[in-house]
Amino acid sequence: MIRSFGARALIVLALLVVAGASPLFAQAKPAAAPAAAAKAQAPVFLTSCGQSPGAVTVGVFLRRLQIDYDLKETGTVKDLAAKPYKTIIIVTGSSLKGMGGAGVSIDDELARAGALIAEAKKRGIEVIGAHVEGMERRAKNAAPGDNSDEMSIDAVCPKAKMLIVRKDGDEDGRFTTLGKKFGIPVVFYAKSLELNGVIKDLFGK
Amino acid sequence: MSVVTLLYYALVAFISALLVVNLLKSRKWERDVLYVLVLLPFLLRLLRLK
Amino acid sequence: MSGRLLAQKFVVISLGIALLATSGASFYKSRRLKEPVVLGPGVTTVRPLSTWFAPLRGTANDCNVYFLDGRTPGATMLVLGGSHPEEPAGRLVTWILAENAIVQKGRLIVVLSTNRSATTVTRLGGAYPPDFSIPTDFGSRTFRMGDRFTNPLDQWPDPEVYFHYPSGQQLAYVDIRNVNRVWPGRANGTLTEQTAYALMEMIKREKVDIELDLHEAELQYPVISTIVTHQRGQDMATLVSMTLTDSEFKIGTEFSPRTLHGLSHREIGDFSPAVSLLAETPEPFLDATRGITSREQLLTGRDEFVVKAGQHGLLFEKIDEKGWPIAVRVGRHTSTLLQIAETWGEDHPDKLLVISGVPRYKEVIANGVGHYLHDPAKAAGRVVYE
Repeated sequence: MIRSFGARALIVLALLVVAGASPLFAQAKPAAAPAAAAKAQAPVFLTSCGQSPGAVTVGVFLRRLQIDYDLKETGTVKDLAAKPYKTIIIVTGSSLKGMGGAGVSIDDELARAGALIAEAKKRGIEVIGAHVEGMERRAKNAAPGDNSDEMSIDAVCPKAKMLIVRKDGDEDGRFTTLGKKFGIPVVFYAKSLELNGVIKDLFGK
Repeated sequence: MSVVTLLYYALVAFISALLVVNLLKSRKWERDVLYVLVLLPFLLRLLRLK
Repeated sequence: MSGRLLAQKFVVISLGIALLATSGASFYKSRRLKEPVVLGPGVTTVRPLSTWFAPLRGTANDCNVYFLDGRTPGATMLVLGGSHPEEPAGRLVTWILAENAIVQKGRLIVVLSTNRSATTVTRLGGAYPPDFSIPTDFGSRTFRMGDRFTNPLDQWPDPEVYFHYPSGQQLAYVDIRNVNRVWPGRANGTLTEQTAYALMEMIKREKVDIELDLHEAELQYPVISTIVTHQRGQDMATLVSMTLTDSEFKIGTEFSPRTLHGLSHREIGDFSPAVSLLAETPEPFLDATRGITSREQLLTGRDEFVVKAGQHGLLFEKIDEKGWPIAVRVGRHTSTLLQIAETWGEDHPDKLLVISGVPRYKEVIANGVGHYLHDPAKAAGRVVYE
């Protein structure tokens, strides 16, 4: 026990000094978390390879996030050259009804996608591939003998800089394997509405 | 009711009449049954039931 | 004529008359079966369709149009049930709306018998039951079973080839009696075309913002479990489909082909400012591979033959021994309708449509369709007939 008054006073004074100085030792409050580093930039050229409704799905979120984009479902190299696009998103998955309505065949779509990718690379436009409709838009669930979904995936995904895929469309590991084989990062998401978050992160919103 | 519709009802009535005449003339019961079965939908249409 | 021949004629003709009498009586009764509607607290007025096109007055297709005006103005949504009365889920949804919905903001316009004539006949050669009953909390309610097409007693004959007005597109001859192939209709056309014309007039004059046509489809048909949308409704339909798929049940989106004419999702959007949508839900009763075409099959959606077809990869929707019960089909439509209203509001905060009193998918399954139908015997003064 400390008997002397002087010693006690010293201890109290020391405690007061420590208490008063403690803010100086406190960790600095973290600054507001910076927006995730953007990996893609607008304006965006959004198109489909196969004329499935997937491109519209992506467009819904681009619009809601106020990211400058143009949806050109049958867009050509000429359309790509019309504006200084920074990113092209090609949504894979085919629809016989969509192609019929657009008056195109799967061969037309594959050729168009190939030309767009080549032109994008020439112009330094980032190519992003996407498959957003799950197993409904894979050959397994198409009419017997219809392999156009897989053809559109093969035409686009191996040549993309990154892939955005709804997880249930990778039930057979198709996109995981593709990503590993070609060294392409694949961003998976579980529920359709989560695509909003994926696009938000991608564009640093 | 349009003129075409009335003409069609007249046609149905005519065919029905032919079927009834043939029903009365026939001698074989199998033919009788056939005529009745064929006549039924015509009569249903003529009577505006179906 | 010999005595034996006379006896033969007498027996056969008597049997024929008996068949004629029994079948005729059944057709007569089912064509005139009364379907009561107990007006819910949200219904503000009921008007005949001929209000917007007088030549339809007194015809089989001069159906009732139910208005549910909200307390404050907002968006107007038209819900069509009974475009194809052989698809009962759509009609039952509109019954639920008329008997239960309350609109806080905006306005709901509901049609229970878009092709009323088609509710008075069943598919020729289809062996459909003439009616079906929904068990309710107070007993049951019976509804006419219908066909896809206007009753030939109301519109006959069909042309060899049907040329759609105004596109000139050639469609199957029988589709001249299919209200979902004659949009936008024609004032001087057939009864079915005049019906669509009257509805278009109503859509334009009542300034409808969103139109939803409720249907069911056979599992062999690729356009199933989906919302078909006009291009002006693409974003909304896509969001509705994603929201429902993530939270309630799987439903897709299809885009209305621009070159296929006569359908509500194409022509209503092209010929009016309204956003036109069509929702499909599975109905095994319609499948060509079905077994016995019974009331039970209609309401439970259970069919071993359709399941077999699924095992052979012939279907575009799944089916198992649980089938596709009517409550599931009706619930899908009510949730779709409510989600459309909500999603519309997110993009149009100045023109909302707020509806209450309508059950969502899980509630319809839990409580049954009949829970939302009310007893006409206890609703004197608030009963009309379809």
